[in-house]
Amino acid sequence: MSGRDDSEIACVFLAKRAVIKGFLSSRLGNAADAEDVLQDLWLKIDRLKIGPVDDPLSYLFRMAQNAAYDRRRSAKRRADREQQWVETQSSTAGSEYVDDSPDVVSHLLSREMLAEVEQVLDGLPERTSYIFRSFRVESRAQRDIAAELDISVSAVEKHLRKAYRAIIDFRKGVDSDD
Amino acid sequence: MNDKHILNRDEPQLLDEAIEWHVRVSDPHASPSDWMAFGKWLDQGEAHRLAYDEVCENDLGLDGLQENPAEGETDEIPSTPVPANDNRKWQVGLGLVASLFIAFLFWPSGGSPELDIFQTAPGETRVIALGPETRIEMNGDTVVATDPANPRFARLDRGEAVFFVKHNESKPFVVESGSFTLRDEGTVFNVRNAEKLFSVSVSEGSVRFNPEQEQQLVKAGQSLTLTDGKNPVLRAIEPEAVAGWREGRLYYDNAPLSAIAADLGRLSGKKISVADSISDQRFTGVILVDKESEAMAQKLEQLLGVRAENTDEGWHFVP
Repeated sequence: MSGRDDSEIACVFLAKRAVIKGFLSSRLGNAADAEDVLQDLWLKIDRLKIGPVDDPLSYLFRMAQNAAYDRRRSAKRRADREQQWVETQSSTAGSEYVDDSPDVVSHLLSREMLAEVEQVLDGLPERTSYIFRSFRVESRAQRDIAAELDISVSAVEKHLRKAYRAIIDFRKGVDSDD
Repeated sequence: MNDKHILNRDEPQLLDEAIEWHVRVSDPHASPSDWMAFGKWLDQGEAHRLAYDEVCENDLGLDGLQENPAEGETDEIPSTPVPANDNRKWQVGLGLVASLFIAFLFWPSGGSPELDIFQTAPGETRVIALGPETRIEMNGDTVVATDPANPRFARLDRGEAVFFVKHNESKPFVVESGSFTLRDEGTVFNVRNAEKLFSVSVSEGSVRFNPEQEQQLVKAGQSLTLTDGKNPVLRAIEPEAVAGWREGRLYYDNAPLSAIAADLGRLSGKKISVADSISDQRFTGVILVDKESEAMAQKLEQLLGVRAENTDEGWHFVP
């Protein structure tokens, strides 16, 4: 085994612990949960040898953000479950599978739902849907998209907001089926 | 807009703000000051946090959407077919793979006779070179079939392998495994198919799962798992966790003991069985596989909460 020195990311974590904890408190709404999630993050950083990343602090914020969301989500699920524990466990609705494990940060939309969201996107101005797919599906940076289209980053943000709004409005409409 | 779909009271405004923050911080170049400003916004109260939860909730699963249609030019990388047993080059960067064995066994039944079949024994690893920039590293107890006539195809019949694929837009690399098909989109990915558990995890680029049907895109830092061919779950993983077996590290997220026993057996060469009563017990965490058998057994007992009984060829896990 090649002895590895402490990863850069671990150093940044230790140096910026307070800042990250501050963010987690904001996201979770209380300091105790924040401390908890911070602890988990540290374990994760320690056990996964995360290679060099471009911007370790941003990377840590992103990890914290994901962990915090998982925490809130599983807390909500727990609350829901306590309310109606009859239909607990994992529900298999269509091909959409809802997993109960806390680490799942993303689950698959059913093909039908995806097809409908595609339609929502296709109903938007071409540039808006192009920008949204570039950002959300192809994981391109906003500044790269802006450069390609020769527009400003804030214009790119505007298109993205519009697309998100349309998708959220649509999915809420479907859920409540009103 | 139809306000009754939008959170509660005065929330359309909040949701818009939440979307704005989401767009800001989900950019790969979001800066620490963006994050801190976002924290300040969240600090304004639970309503803000809930609005943001809602955006996240709706953002889930959108990875499955179509990409923009590729326009015209693809990078032309002429793929020179190389005989399947060409093993130049692969010493580079493969410190762990001490030696290369490339065996050609003839597959006696099922499967087309034109394919070359590579097989590893439990505890053995092996590298297949499919061209100057495409290789397959096989874990133990694994069967991979390749097609000498088509260097852009492989079939994983059993076990686990990691695929390092040179992407070629016009000739995607395809992996079949059981009833599943994967198509590379520029990629390093690990595929596992044994003990009812199928998973593909991606450390670079992305892979299209069942391109003719679900078309699910699995991106770097994600893994897709199916149990018994059903219940697809897409998870975020650390790219370093992909093909951790190459370094003796096994990463699990809610995995059944039966699958873990299969992985341990593949890697160590031991025969590991699990008592029925606990075969569905779940484990989340990392297992460092130790060559020292005694120490390993103890570690597993602690980690997995089982007792490891010695058998002739390995262990039997009991409650």
